[in-house]
Parts: sequence; C-alpha cells; structure tokens
Amino acid sequence: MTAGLAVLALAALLTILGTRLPGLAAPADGALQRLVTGSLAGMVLFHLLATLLDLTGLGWSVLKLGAGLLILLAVFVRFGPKTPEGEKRLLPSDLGWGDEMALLAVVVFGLVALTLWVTTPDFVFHWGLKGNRYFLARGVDYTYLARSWGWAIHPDYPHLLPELYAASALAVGRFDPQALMLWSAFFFVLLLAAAREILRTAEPFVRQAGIALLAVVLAAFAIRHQMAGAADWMPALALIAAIPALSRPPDAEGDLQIGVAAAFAAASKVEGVMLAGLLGLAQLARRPAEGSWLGLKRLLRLGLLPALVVLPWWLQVRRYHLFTVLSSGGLSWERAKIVGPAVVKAINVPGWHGFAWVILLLPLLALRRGTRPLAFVLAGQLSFYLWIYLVATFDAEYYVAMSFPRLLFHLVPAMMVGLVGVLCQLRLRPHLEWAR
Amino acid sequence: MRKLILGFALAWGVFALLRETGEALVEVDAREQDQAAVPFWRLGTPQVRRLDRCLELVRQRVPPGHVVVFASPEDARPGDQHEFFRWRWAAYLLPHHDVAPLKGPDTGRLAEYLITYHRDIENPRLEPMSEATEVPDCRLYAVKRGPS
Repeated sequence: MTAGLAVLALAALLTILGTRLPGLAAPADGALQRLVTGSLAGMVLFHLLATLLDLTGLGWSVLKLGAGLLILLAVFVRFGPKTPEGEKRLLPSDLGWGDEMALLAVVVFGLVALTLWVTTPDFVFHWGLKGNRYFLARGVDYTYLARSWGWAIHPDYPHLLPELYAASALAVGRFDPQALMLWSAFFFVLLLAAAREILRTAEPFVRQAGIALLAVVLAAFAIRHQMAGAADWMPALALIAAIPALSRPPDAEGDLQIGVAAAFAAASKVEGVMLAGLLGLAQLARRPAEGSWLGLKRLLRLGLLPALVVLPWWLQVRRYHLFTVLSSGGLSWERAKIVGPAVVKAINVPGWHGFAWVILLLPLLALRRGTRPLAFVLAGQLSFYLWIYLVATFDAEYYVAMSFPRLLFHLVPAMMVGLVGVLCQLRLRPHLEWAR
Repeated sequence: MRKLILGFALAWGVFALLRETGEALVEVDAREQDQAAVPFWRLGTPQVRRLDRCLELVRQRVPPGHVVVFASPEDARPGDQHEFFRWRWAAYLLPHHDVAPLKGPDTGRLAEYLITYHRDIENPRLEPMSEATEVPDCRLYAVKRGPS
C-alpha cells in the first residue's frame, strides 16, 4: 500500500514539475495535453537529475533526488511564466460514456496487473532486475551491467524505467514489484489522455467511441501479451504525445513538446533513440510560421533535451563497453521470405484481436497534410524494425515472433488515433486543417 | 457509415477485453497448478517458489555482493533455453548477488560460490556449505581459489 502510494506520489510530483517547465504549454493546448507533456517533461528532468548524480559519483537518495526536483520546481515557479487564469482547468468538462469506459479499461488492466500474472517476462529478465539493482546500488550499477554475462540484461538500454522503479523503491526502502506495476497503469492513463486531447474536436460520438476503442484494445493486448511492467508503453506514449505538435504548423511550444517527447523516448528504450531522431526530423523538416527555420533557439528547443539524454547514455555505454553486438548480415531474399510471413503472423497474434492490421492503413495518413509528419515517423519506425529483422542473423522467425507483436504496441495507438483523425476529418487545433 | 464502423470496432474491442480479462482471471485462480515450461514461468507460480526456496540458502549464507554461480540441468534439446531462463530467474531472485552462469567466459575466475539446482556437480574446488537433505535437489558450495 505504502509502496503504491510512493509510486503515485512520485508520478504526481514529476507531473507538477514538468507542467511548470517554461515554454512547454501552447496557448491552444487543452488541460490534458498540458498534463501529458508535463508528465513526460517531469520524467525527463528526473532522468537528467539521476544521470547527473551518477556522473558526479553521488549516490541516489530520497533526500538528494527530492531536493533536486524541488529546487528545479522552485526555479520554474520563480522564473517561469505565470499560468493564465483560463489554463487552470484540470479536466475537460465534456466527459462522456467513452471516457468512463476508458477509465474502466485502465482500472481492469491495473487490477489484473497487480496480481503480477500479466507482468512482462522482461520485468524479471531486465527492467525489474535493473530497477532492484539500481535501488540497492543507489545509482546505475555499471559494474553489474559490465559483467561478462551482463549481455543477458541488455546493458546498453537507456535507464529511465529502472530509474523510476529504483526511485519508487528508495521512497519506501524496499523493492515492491506489485506497486511498480502502477507505472504501467500511469503510462496507460497518459496515453489515453493524449488520445483524448487529439480527439477533442471530434463530434461527441466519434470522440467517445474513439477513446473507448483505444482503451479496450490496448487493455486487451496488455493483459494477453503481459505488458505490465514493460517499457513499451513509453515509446507508444512519446509518439502519441507528439501528435498535436506534429499536426499543427511548427511553433516554439511545439518544438519544445517534440523535444520533450523525443527525450522521453530516447531515455526509455534503444528503439526510442530512433524514434527521437524521427520525431526531431519530422519537426525540423517543416518551416515554422515565425522565426528562423534552423535558428539556434529552435534547435535548442527541439534538440537540447534529447541531446542531454542521449549523450551521457552513449558515453557511459562506450566507457563501460556495454554495447551488445547485433549480429547482422546483408539484406537477403532468403531471409525476407522468412521475415514476411513471420511479420504477418505477429500482426495476427491473438492478443491484438485483429486491430494491429490497422498498421496497413498507414498510407492513408499521408493523404492529409496534418497527418503527414505522423505518417513519416510511423513509417520510419516501422521500417527500422523491419530492417533489423531483415539484417539480423538470429533465427528470424523466432526473433519476429518474440518481439514484433510488442513493438507494434509502439505504433498502433498513434496509428489508431491518426486514422480516426483522418477518417473523421478532425480539426485538431483551430489552425490545423486535417481535412486539407 | 463512420459511426457504424467505429461502433462495430468498439463492440469487437469490448468483447476482446472481456475475453482476455476472463481468461487472465481464470489463470490467476489456477496459478497454483501452473505447469508452464521455464521460458513461460511467471511471478508467484510454484516453479518460481521452488527455485526461490533453493536460493534462500544463498540469502542466508552468502554475504551480499559476491559472485554466485548458478547451475541447473542442461537443455535436453538445443534451443530450449531452459537452463538460460532458470539462470535469469535466479538473477532476479538474488538481486543482492552477482549471479553468473555456469558456462560464462570468466565464471571459473570470478566464481566465489556455486548453487546447484536439480544438478550434481563434482569439482575438487567445491566446498559444501549445505547438506544434501537440507533443501531437496539444491546444494550450496564455496568455491576455493585455484586453477579453474
């Protein structure tokens, strides 16, 4: 119980911190969008603080982490812009049956997750193990990661999720796997909040059915495919949180929101580093309405946080020789003949109940201007996964079967929301024209 | 038409969630009878508890921070990966220790203790730290320094 409360308190503190990050909230952002980007920003700032303590050799403690976060919050409150009266709403006022269904889906997933029955095997094999080790070591345990047998725990993966686990454990002085499952439920809530924000201009039935549909599909997959405790919620969340900024003409706040989403993705998983690059490219390729295209300020808003996440990670991985070698060969037709059917089989796994086929409708997103950047990011990320399968020299069929259903989880939520947006010709912002 | 498509998809999604939740709850209820093979072990199942009982010897008798080699039965068929996953579970259940695989490249050099699970190992460097009858199919040894 106490451990669960610690998770919720930490999540709340990081959200409050992130929402005060100056320049993050756009005037047109709804309350949910501010909540989502704020949470992501808070988690990124927490990761940077934990990394700073690591690099300076100071062990993590509740006092150090807490003081660091509170100092940051005080700085933001003192020097950041004041929140205008109109932006103080916490929740949208048009809640309906779809929102209630979505909430119910989260509760169902959360309760099943608390049994630990649907905990991802990867929680045992690396995410949870790392979290526990970092908790015991009071920092990222590079000695442990660098052991000759450390390859089994993906030592080269970014550390945000184990850091969140370790900090939650530090708060109560013990590692409680059950309580840590609440992080997945938290990511699920944020993911739905981001989707709800995107659908807010849709007609009521589409909005309610859309959010309910996304919630039940993800909950069903998460239960069947054991997604509790997994890091795969995080790239999915980063991508969907970036949609509003990707869908409107570039502006200063949008650049920072993309920067935050990219940094969050990069801090979560190795695949997230690729996603971060694609998000940055998709935003950078578009000329902003105001200000310079490649001006220093714009580059900083877009690239500073991702760079602060990626550089220390890359340096530490190099320093401790943690990169696990991906055994790769060239592209071959013989391998493609195995990968193709395996991919079809993975899309068709029972857990997705057919909904992962939505990925085939990706070209539809390219038809409308508002969703073209999203189409670019989705296509890039999907191509990246397929390319890895095509060049890796492992047992291709096994490799695809073990990972692709889960990797689709990164893409399907954004794809579903984007598709509803296109089909229903949503206007995401007053100045965004999905229908063009 | 749009409403019809969305409505149908939603109905299908609700059915999917009900089905998955129902199946998961039935499995949770039957957790005590779980017989899954090693790669499919889950937290709280009898297989994991049996392994955990064996590893309790390490928690009781080996100070934190030491390298403990974990040995369990070799795979009956290549590619089974049962031995590998048992080792990973042992590592998860012993976070205070560095749990090394039996066949690691520098295991012989770094090994300080050895825990065997359903496997007999004879080596003159091994000094028993538990009785054979203490925990069934489970022995803890100290590894004496010397040529590997």
